[in-house]
Amino acid sequence: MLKIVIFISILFGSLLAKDCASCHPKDAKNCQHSLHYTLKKAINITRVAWGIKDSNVTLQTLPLPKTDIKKPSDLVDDFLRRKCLKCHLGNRSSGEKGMKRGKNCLACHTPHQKNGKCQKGKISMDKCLSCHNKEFVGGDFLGLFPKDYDKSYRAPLTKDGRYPPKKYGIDFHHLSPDIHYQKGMTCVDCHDKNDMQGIKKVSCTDCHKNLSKKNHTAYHKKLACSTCHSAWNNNSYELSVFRDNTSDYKKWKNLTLQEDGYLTNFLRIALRSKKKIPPKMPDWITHKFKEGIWYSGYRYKRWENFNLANSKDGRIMIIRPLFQYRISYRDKNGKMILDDANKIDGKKIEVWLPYSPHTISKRAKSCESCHNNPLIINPKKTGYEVLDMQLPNNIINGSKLTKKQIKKMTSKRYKKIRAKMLFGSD
Amino acid sequence: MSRTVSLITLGLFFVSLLSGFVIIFAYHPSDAFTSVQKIEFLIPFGLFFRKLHYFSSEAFTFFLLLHIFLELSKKKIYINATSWNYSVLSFALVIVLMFSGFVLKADLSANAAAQVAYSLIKDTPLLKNLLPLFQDSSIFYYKFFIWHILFLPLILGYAIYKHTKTLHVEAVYFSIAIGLSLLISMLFSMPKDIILSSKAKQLSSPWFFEGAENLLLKSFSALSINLILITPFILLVAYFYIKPKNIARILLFSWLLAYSYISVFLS
Amino acid sequence: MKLKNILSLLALLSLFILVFSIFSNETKIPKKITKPDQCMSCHADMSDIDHAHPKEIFGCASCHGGNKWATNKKDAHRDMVLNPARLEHVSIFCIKCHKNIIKRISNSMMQSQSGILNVLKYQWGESKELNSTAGIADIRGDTNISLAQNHFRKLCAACHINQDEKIFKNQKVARGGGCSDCHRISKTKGNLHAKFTTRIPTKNCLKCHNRSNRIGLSYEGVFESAGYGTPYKHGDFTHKMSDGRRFYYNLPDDIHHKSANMSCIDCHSEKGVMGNGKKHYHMEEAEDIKCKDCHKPHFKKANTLALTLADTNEKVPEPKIIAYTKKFNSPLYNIQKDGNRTDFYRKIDGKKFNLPKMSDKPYHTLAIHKRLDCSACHSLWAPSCYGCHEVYFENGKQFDWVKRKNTKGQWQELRSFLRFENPSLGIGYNKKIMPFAPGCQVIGTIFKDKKVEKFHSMAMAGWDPHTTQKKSRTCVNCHFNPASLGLGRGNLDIKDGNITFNPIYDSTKSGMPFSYPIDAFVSAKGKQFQSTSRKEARSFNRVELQKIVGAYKCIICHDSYSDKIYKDFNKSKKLFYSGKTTCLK
Repeated sequence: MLKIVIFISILFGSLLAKDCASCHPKDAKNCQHSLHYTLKKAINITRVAWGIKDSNVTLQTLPLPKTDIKKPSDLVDDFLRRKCLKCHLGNRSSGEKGMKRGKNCLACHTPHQKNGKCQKGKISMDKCLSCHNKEFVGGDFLGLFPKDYDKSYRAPLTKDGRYPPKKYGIDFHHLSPDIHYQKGMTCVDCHDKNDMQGIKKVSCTDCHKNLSKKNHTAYHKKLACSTCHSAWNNNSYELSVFRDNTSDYKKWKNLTLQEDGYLTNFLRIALRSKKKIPPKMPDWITHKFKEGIWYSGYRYKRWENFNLANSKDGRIMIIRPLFQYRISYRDKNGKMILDDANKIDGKKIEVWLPYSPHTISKRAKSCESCHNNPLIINPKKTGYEVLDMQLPNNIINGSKLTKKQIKKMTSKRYKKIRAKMLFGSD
Repeated sequence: MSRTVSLITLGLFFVSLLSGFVIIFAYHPSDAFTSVQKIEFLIPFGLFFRKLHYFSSEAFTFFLLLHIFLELSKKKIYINATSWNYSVLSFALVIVLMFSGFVLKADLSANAAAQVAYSLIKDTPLLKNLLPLFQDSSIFYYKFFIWHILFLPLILGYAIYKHTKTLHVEAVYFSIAIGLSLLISMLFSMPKDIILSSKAKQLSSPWFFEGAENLLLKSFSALSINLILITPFILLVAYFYIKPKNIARILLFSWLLAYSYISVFLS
Repeated sequence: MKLKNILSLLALLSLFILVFSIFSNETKIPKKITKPDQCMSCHADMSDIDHAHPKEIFGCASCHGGNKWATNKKDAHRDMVLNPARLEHVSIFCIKCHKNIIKRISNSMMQSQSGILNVLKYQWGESKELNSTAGIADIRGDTNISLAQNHFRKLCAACHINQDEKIFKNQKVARGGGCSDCHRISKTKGNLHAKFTTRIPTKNCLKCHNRSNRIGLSYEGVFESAGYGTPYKHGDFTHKMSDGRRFYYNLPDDIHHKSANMSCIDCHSEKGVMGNGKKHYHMEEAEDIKCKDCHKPHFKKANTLALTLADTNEKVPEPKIIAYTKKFNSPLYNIQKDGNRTDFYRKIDGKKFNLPKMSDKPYHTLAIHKRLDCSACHSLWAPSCYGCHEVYFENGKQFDWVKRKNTKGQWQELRSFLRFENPSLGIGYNKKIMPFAPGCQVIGTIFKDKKVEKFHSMAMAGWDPHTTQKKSRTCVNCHFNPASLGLGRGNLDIKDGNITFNPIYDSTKSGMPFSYPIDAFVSAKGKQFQSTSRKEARSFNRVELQKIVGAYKCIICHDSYSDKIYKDFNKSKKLFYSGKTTCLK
């Protein structure tokens, strides 16, 4: 009987959580507190950044967007609903290749195959990647780095002369993948059930227990493993977002790929059509179309830059901007309600987050990557906007390195140890 | 008919002579091109007299050719050998005068024409010795000027006198000549002087020289071109002595056809 | 007298009067004769072109042709040229006075574009000859057009100095016009004649020098951006370049631009720009100026050329003792010695600046860095455009800038990614170490006869990126930075005395037709991956890499030239190797 229910549900692509809960009540309950279900962190960080104080909502309690818009905080719920929250357990797809999935439990626990067969054993990586892709952790595990948006970056052409294949709404540079991926491991090999349901967070040292080298035991005790062992990281500097309620599409003709499948399809039709197509985009929670299109664009991206900060739990971790926002809103009469707003009360709308790049390599970074990294050692503003946006500001769940820490990094002791290492290996 | 044409021809000669006489006063060989332009644009009635001179001379040449054609089509020659030879000489002189007049306007096409003549003379035996006449460019136009206004007209006048025995033209023919010249110069505009410019089109010699120029472009030797040019005059001299006139006529006619063909189609 | 004669005389008289009256009407005699030419009777209120060619002396026709005696428009304007500064006209009009310059500019590289053409042909494997002077004039009549030549015709040749300005659809980016390409600073409007000058604004140079190695842009601190057009302002993109299609970032500009707002011509002498009369193979042979010509000048009395140039410039005071370039000995009349001081006069407005001289500190005098070009240390960034994906559609149509009409074949340019930080270093055209950047990494796709062909030609090029800063790059920035060493981006380290390097970029998986990382000029073992466009130019070799990275071991502690070991470096070295120093103890 259950099998039939699952089968039918898969056919319709949805399965009410309560169907699963009838057998797995504990898991279903745990799931309701998991971030996968509530998306609390992403939602609240963004809401706070955009100027809502003490935001504590979940996907389920996210208020409906305001209609009278005067400041960024009036727009944030609309932005979340229509641009960010494409990936929640209740949404099946937003038009990109590779991002189709089931609903609720089935989002992870099925392969979305046409024959509808239920997958036995572990959850495939495709399932995870259907949400954890692009500039977020997940894609980097495979070595994927999304390309710039402009049409001129659709290169190199394939052997038969086509544009490179798109996935998740964009195509990718291939960088060196994570060592675990190279060895054939998948997401769930580390991120087990306990980790997923927030019972016990997984850690590198759960497996890698014997760390004997001096580097590990003496010098760098406070560092997260990924700080040294990540080969690269995804820094997308400055995200300009623009909600446009007018039908001014022409100028986007070279920028139709914005990591947003719906937008790509919409622009493709709108740019070809002789009729005037009203700007509409769905709310991915209610699945209702609403007026206005959200466009977005970064300033630039780097994979070789990184910056460090103290995380909340006292470890030194790599941080990255998610994101440095600049917000514009034009109403349907063409009036700019918000014109490139990037500050609230004199403070930049900016979030830097400590994170673990999943680009682990066996060989750790050289000492110089940090100890001689001008962004870390000498974080001075240059007066050039483009360069200064590489310096962290408003770190969430962490704090900047202290002057004492920086001094220690360039101390004579460090230099002597490092010199001995280099000469000693001569 | 034949008499009318010959008298109008003579009348045209005088029109050309007189209109040229007026222009002399405004022409400065030391600054030839400027003075030509001044005659055309600045000096009162300069353009009028220039056009008159140009068209009367062209008409003179045309009537001269017509005159020759008419005389040759007659069965009998009514003048003696000396007179006949002088007539051929004056024909040759007219051509040289026309050419020197063309050079004297001193624009780019005049330069080109002089260049063609220079190349013809340079490579021809005997004629080579005439080179110094052309070489010193500083007094280039002086030489042409003196010849054009003085020696050539005098010799031509003498030759015509020896040919016609008189230089008297009845007023009616003179009037026709001058009226004709005026009418043409009123109806037509003369070819524009070609000024130094990167846009100037292909330069060309006077019309009767076109054939020689084309041959030169086809890299015929200078000597052969000179021979071609001199042929009609030799034939004309010989015409007097050859008995079956038709042979000479056919030869002359075929030369004319050939030269016309070269002039028009060979460029 | 017979009646017939009287009648004919009367007829003649009346005809004469008739024609006479017509002629007197036709020949409009001007009220007065104008000087220097008759053009002034209509164009007397035209403004002067510059102070060296006053219309009172030159008139119009001495430059524009036409008939300067003519009194009617039609005759006056016959065969006139609108822009006598075009190279096909200069040899008729300007040559009377500027014979020397016309010969030089006709042989110059900006005219022939031979540098571009031949390097392109060499890099695309169509020619083995890197050093050739064949230029745009030599291919004009070609009918069998190769791929590289096709590319040149459709893209590069637009910047030919004698390009036809009128054929540009976007007049804002129109180039060409012979001398006026550089020397004209305003266009003719009504009675205002286009102004010409020798005080050439940077704007004019930027008409062309804004692509490929982008020197002009970099000098002003402008770097072509990744094409997002962000941040959005007023509902539109921002930071648009003048062509309206590309976008830019503001980066640190060149110190010469920042501190004195200098123009290109403040350094680049007339010989360097217009050539010295000889045909050259490459830019650096034609180029005259070197950093040292100004910052370590040798002075001589001003020659006549210097006086003429200063006089034409109008703003720079009359030179007495001035600097000369070492290469062509051309006068730098705006660098004048005044007692012990060296004054630099800005050519655009004559403003005086004190010229800082190159210091004698160890970093400039020590032998260890004698192989470095100034640009190796003092250039902060270089525009590096990785991956130049050229797509060619044989059935498409595109404008041919040589033929000046649409012809078969169309190019589309794609790219992989952009960087500006940490330019690679290598051995440049002058056998000295200088910054390198992709130039050009062509990965071509040819659509031909329904088939798809692929080719690639990967090259790096070294040049002075014109992003000079007073402060040099740090020691570590070169000695232990994989990007600077030419290895690419990734993790550089030393293990067991050997350089190890783990690159980040995976070319094969990214679809490139080669396996080395796209940003790698050389491997950690010293194997050069990418070619260059000069015989002398190359990446560092294995020994050099070992030496440079090896020096880092000392630099860890002795990371400043004020450190005492650099006072007598050889002595310090000896002491170290004999174990008499406190190092590592």
